[in-house]
Amino acid sequence: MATNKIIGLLLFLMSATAGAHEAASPASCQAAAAQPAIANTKAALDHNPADLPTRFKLADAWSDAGCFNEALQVLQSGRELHPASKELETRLRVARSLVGEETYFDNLDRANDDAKLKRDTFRCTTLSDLDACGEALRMKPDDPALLVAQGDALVRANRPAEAIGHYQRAAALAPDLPDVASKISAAEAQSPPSQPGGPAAGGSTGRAAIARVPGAGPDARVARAGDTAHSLRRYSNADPVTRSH
Amino acid sequence: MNIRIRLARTLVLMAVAGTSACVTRPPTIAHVHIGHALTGVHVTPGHKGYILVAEQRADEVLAAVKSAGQAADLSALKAQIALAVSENDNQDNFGVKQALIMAANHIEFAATSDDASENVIRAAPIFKHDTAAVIERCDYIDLLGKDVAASRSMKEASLLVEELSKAAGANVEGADSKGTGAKGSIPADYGMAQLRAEVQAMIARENPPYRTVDDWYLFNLVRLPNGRWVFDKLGRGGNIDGYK
Repeated sequence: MATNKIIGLLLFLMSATAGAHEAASPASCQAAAAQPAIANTKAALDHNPADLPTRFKLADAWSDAGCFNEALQVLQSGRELHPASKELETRLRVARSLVGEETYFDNLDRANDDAKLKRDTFRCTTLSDLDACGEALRMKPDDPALLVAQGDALVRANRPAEAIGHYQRAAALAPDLPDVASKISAAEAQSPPSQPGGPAAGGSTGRAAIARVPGAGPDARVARAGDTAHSLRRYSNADPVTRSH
Repeated sequence: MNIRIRLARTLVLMAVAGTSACVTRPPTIAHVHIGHALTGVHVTPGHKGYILVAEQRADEVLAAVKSAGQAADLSALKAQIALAVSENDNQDNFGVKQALIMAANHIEFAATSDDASENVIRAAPIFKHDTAAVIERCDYIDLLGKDVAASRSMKEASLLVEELSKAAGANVEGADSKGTGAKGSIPADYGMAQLRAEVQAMIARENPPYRTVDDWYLFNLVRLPNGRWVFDKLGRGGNIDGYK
């Protein structure tokens, strides 16, 4: 009997450490609850919560489905009923490790996304790279500093009329942002009168321009459409990102 | 011979035997895994522990970026940044990123060992979490490195090198994002210096105490097909089952 338990435990550890199963999404785990292996075992455990082998069987079934959080919960809820079970403790430790592993992979993905945002922000603010501005704003559309940086990049690219909408939106999001009014005035002064967003189209300058509904004017729409085009272009040209897991 | 002298000799011999028995007692499996992170492992260059490798690579990245900052022309600058990127993220030769991920994995292995202490079980996920800042900077260095490789102007490349220098420096000694004057004061600012300190603090709390693990144990821990960790009594000094 004891030998069987040890063999069972070793097999569990072997399958767990082999990492054979990919972690499933919460939606997949919801769907997996209807699988006979899980539903029937759960019903058996509900009927007799003190049955430790059934609890392990249910945890294994969740694990097989890639639902490590659910497996951990099943094991954790058996702790009060079986405080002295060494096997339960070992399984709990492995289950926690698998959940931790899952979180770690998520963190690695997040680190990669954050690095990309940081790079795009740097290129936007320091090198006036409009593609990078578009990418960064796609990830953080309401970042006033990025909106100003994109405005600045547009002015440097001799597209001051398009810059105005970005400045206005930034000012609306962060009214205390310094220099935005003067940037709008400068951009309006540089804009040809016929261009939308220029003095002729808007009919107001500086702080008065900020007071207009931000992000809703034709300039903003044009600029945002431009961002999307940039984003799509960059995505199609993007290098594959190196991952290490 | 005086009976007292004989007795004293016997006591000394017993004490020596007792001490040597303590010294030769095998380390716990958890401590061997920690030893792989800190001291040595058979798969790395020079058989160094993963944290040592990550620290060394982080230093090499910074040195290459600094050389790039003094380069006379664009091609020399690009060559130095290519070297920095290779030390930073390299699957074959353990870049900073790979070595650090492996260190975190081995500390996790330690925490899931049967003989792991509560201290290690608690500390392992925190360490894993705290590696994120260095790993993010590694990704950032990769991206900026690609930008340098694609750059056609010395001016643009130099601006990128300045930014690379900040990231590489932060990976060595931590960052100071809050401008407090103290580097690495929060996990988001951690570099290798703070990560090493975190592991050192973890092992300092161990009871029984952590001792530097002998090479024999470091290089002969193997995983059996059934998933158990054991020492290879034949001392073949390698991984039988793909253990890294």
